[in-house]
Amino acid sequence: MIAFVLGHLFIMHYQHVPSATGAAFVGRRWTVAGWREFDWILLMLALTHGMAGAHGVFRERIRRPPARAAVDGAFAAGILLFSGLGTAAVAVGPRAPQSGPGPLSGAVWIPTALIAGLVALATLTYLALAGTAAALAARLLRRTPIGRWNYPGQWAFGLSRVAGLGVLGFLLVHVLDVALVPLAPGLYERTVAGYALPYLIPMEVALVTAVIYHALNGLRLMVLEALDRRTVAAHVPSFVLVVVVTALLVVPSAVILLRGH
Amino acid sequence: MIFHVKRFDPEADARPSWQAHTVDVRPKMSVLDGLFWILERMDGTLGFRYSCRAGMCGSCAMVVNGREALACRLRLERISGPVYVEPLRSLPVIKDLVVDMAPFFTKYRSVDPFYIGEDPSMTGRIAEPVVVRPDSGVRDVVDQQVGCISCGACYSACPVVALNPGYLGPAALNRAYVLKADVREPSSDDRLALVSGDDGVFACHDVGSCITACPVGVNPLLSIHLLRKGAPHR
Repeated sequence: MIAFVLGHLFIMHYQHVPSATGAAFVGRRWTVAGWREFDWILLMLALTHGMAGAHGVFRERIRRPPARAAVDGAFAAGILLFSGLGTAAVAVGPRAPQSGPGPLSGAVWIPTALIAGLVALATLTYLALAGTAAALAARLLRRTPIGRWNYPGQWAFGLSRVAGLGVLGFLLVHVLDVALVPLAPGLYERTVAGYALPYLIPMEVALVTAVIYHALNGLRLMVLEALDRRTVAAHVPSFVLVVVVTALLVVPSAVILLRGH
Repeated sequence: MIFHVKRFDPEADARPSWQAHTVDVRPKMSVLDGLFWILERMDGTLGFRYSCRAGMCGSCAMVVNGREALACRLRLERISGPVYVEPLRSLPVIKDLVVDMAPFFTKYRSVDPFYIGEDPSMTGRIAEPVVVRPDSGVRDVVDQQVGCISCGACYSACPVVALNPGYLGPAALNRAYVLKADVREPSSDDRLALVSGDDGVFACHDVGSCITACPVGVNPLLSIHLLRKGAPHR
């Protein structure tokens, strides 16, 4: 999955900018053998991994059997819905570059709702980041405890969880917008163009950061577990390495994004 | 040196609060010595737990400046600035720095934390003692892991324990591994079955804070990794 995800990220955020990947781009891509299959496999892997992770997060806190059964049912339904939508989009998607109207071309509320949702999410994210940074700074300046955040492992875990949930949230929106490609290519163009709103540019950078960090941290944990005894002292240095590599990979993407917009 | 101690009496207080005391620091004083200073000279109502005062029993485990530590082993000369002392996390507070270790030990007991020989009822007499030569290297497998003093520092530091009330925790899983790796026990999957549920080894998210928090150098995460490799995922 890591290979698929990083490959897709490279194409969409390094080779191109997201706002330039309209219906025509998708149509051209899907005329080349293998790309449709690539995108479908990526969707299935990412959706399964993301929903399994989020499901685990909910089950940590929800202990009563009836509530757990409800959560299990909701996630099962969600996986069926989004994997079905994504599979349908990939299966019936254009086999030639096109930008003509589709059966849903009149539903202009769809891109409006998607962009509005992203703007709302961005606002919450910016407020949460600002609030967290302010609280952390205040405690550090007063030299008062910052709880378990004294431990590097806590940062690794916390950042990975936030990144994973954030990427899943975007993935679900992305499944919805790609579903517009065969149904209303013009509306898909409008949605993708909305990603270039200056207000959302930091969220695009955050998305790239989240994907890269979550992938590299996951790889780090797999390696540490596989090597077990030989990695006793490697947890903290490996986390630092992951952060540094993430930062190095994100910088060019951010430059490309800013130039592209 | 300023000591900020988190005070809380559930029977009298609505919420915890910080209480500051100025402690006259002498050479080689530990955090525990500082607490005794406060108890004997400033506030006789301060509650904290201790026993051996030599880093062996684990009774004085608490959170100092955000990190779990044995108060008797942490020297004040290693701390610059004020000292913030809090009770262990994820455990109910009985009073001030004293926590109820019952949840910790309930989970610890759930992994059958004792040697089970060929006679599980332990009522029979074994014919011959099991021989493990000191130079065989067999003990080396668990040499680091067997040193756990059940102080609860890893349990307190673990964010998964805080998020998942059912998670067994690093100490219990470490103990399970030590016994699973014991060559004297007949090989079986019974021990793995105890730790392979939703709240066992697969609930661990490889945070690693348990490694940093352990005051006696045990690596509970290594035990969890080794258990995972044998545990069926149910």
